[in-house]
Amino acid sequence: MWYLDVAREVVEAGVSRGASYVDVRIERYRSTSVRVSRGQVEEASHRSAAGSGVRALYRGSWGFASTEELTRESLMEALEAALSMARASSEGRKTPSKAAEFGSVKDRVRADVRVNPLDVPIEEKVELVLDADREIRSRREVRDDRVSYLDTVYGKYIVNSEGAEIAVEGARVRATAYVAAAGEGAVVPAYDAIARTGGFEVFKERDFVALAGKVADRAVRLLGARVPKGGLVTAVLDNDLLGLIVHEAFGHTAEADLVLSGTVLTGKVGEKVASELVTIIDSPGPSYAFGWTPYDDEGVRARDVVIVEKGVLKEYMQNRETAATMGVEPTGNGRAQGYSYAPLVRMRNTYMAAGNWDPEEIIQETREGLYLKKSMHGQADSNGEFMFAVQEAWEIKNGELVRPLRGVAVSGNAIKVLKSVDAVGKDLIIDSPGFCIKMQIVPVDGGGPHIRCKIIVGGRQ
Amino acid sequence: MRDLLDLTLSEARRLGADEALASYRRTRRLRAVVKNDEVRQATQTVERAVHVAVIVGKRLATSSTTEVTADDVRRSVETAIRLARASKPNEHWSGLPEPQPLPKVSGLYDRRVESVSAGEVVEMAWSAVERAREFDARVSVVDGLVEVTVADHFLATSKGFYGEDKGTVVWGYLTAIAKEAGEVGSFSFAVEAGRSLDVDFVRMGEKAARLAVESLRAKPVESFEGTLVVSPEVALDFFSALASAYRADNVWKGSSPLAGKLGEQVVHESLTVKDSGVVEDGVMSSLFDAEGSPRRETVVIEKGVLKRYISNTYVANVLGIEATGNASSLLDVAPTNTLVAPGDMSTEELLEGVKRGIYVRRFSGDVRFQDGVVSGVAKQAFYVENGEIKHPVVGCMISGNLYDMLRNVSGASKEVERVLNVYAPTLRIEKVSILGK
Repeated sequence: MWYLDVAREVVEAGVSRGASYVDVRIERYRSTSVRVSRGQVEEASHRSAAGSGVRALYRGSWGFASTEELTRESLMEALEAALSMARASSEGRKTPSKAAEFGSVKDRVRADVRVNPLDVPIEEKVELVLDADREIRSRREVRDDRVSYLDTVYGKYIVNSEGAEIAVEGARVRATAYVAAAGEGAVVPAYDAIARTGGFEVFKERDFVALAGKVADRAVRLLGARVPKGGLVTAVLDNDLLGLIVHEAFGHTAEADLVLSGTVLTGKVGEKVASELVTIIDSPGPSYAFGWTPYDDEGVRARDVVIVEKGVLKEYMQNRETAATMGVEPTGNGRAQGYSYAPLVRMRNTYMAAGNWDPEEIIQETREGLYLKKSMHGQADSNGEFMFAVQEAWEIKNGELVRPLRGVAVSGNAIKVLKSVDAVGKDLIIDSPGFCIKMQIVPVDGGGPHIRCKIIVGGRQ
Repeated sequence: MRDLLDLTLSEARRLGADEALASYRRTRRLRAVVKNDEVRQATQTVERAVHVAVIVGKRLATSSTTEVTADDVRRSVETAIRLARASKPNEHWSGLPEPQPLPKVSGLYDRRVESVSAGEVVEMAWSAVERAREFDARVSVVDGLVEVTVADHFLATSKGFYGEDKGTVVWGYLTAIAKEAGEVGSFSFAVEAGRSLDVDFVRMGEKAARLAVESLRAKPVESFEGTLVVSPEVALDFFSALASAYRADNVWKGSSPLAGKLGEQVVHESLTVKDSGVVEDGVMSSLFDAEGSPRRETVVIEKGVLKRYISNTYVANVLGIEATGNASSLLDVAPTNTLVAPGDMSTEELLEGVKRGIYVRRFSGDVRFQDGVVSGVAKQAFYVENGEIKHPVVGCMISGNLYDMLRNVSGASKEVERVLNVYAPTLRIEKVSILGK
């Protein structure tokens, strides 16, 4: 392919100009989307994007430049720009950057896509979304709904000065349902999504219409619900909420770039940071996961990172730069939003491993507490302090769910919460897809089983 | 550029579109990235895209492409037409807006940004880092960036609108942390933004450092109901949620509790809120919106009374109201710059009037516009008693309802500060649940 030849040429030119590491990424994306609201198809869309990002480590500093003009001239200009960016940022550096080596890999990987979304007529995508919309609106309390479908087919090609030549080709599909129900003077929102690596077959395997119905039921159920009483409570977390906590509150603090800045996990490898029931892994897969990453955007083959094993901190997630600084191997966690961005240390699919408890048993064995379900979004500081919006809560009394409560924020310190875990379910599910924002937006996934812990709930006084 | 847009529109018409809109956006962005007390990376991004929207028998479809030769654009129009024909009509669609004269807005473009070098952007970032470091030896900079952007936007419609908008944006942020005798304070966050090279990054560095130091030696408090004083940074979260509630699409579709409340008092009578897409130097200001309607200033809430919703033409026609230049797409509505009118007290006076409460300068939480649930953690916060700041607080949650809170405002500061696109005073709010240890 012509662009691989050009990419090789650009890499060689960068090396001959004195760069110690150069990579060129060329990426192409095609997306279609459909959105429906309250029975009307509002829009069908197509998006096509292609471009290249050129990165150089030069004079001990990083430079990066991108272009959407895929010609030899334009890529050479991007190299020049990347070198001058590196030169500019090298001024004043006290600790030069380095890039860890990984080796010269030549590979081509394709995602498990059985029905290419490009081959599916738009009418079918429109029907899927309309069916979900009809299902939602069959509940009379529903006021607002917004249902959407999006697929993205992509090809990513990376060539670097280690001699790597890697192609990753794949597709992702995503369908979302937002509902607002109204009654008793209140408007209550609910939201959920199916998002996976794969093709249109995902919607044969996962029933989006049923999921949309569940979202509507949740909004309706919460109409009369009160906000729970705030404070430190015993809580059973569902797979989805646990997935978000593992990612947001804990995972980020194990990203090596943040570890180097100082997080709650800095310098703690080998120490106990969670209950011994807790094992946390960041994985390139499974193959259906929304954050599927066989190779990262630095050409490193991705591997499982066992962050915590039986409560003990084992290792951090690394890109080439942090791995060089810490004197370890890169783990395949260098990811970029697209060709216009330089890679950062990012998670892929982060989850807590299964334990021994029956999930029902965890609730039955809880005398008093809250069952917290479904995350909305969240944020966390690198000291492990986090905040998440929860969509739904149930009051637990003597092992039974007695009444639904309005979702609120939960907060706390990730380490304290993970140390308080005293029951971990058998029911591991990796299906909490989303987009993670850390300067750039990348698809991620995660999950875990049901667990029980102590957590602070921001409810009534 | 006009030629390319004209080609797009005539191609759309030739293929059977009743209406069409074409736009071209081009941006060049330089960024200096800060990590661990140093500027460690500089990047340059050049992006462009042609976007076309077509309407065929009330069926709306869009297509965008980053490949912008005439052939690519023709293919993109064909795709849009094909999608529209395969889609279903939207009975609410009533047409693109008629062209209207555009406003004159000053201070949206700084010629100097065109020629700024990577080295200069790196220096701006260093100026923030150095100021933070010299402010106090206990401070470390965790991360941050400085970014300068030059953007060109061209838009044409089949109704005869043609507009060109050239703008520059300069912004940055810094997060810092202070350490003392084994104690690590809460993360501080400072942001500065504007449309010219006059953005003060030294001030940003100083602010991040000051907030970090002031959060040291924080103590927990007991739970109580009391007064909440919020800085403009926190007010941003509240007014951004409120803006979602006065968006006409959310009103129409039923997500907003402000539906049917025009003319009613919805927040405290001391509050006046405007949406302005024409404020000088505003990060969200421009000449026209995504459908080609002129940007303007809209009084949304006047002395507590809801006056208007913000809208695009699509939703305005459904509701029988006027579009306000707030189209973020042909279908979507978004606020521009939010201007909250100042009060008549100094921040000190606001605090002096607090019997028992907390003063919060960062809020890590959730403000839901639909049901108004406010729930989250107070950061860079102080405990205040009898008008006196007692000590920084840690691990303290705020809980309440946005609409109740905005009705219980008991004062606003004379000074209004800009935080990104929200210009707000410091606000004092009574009867708020504060959850401590």
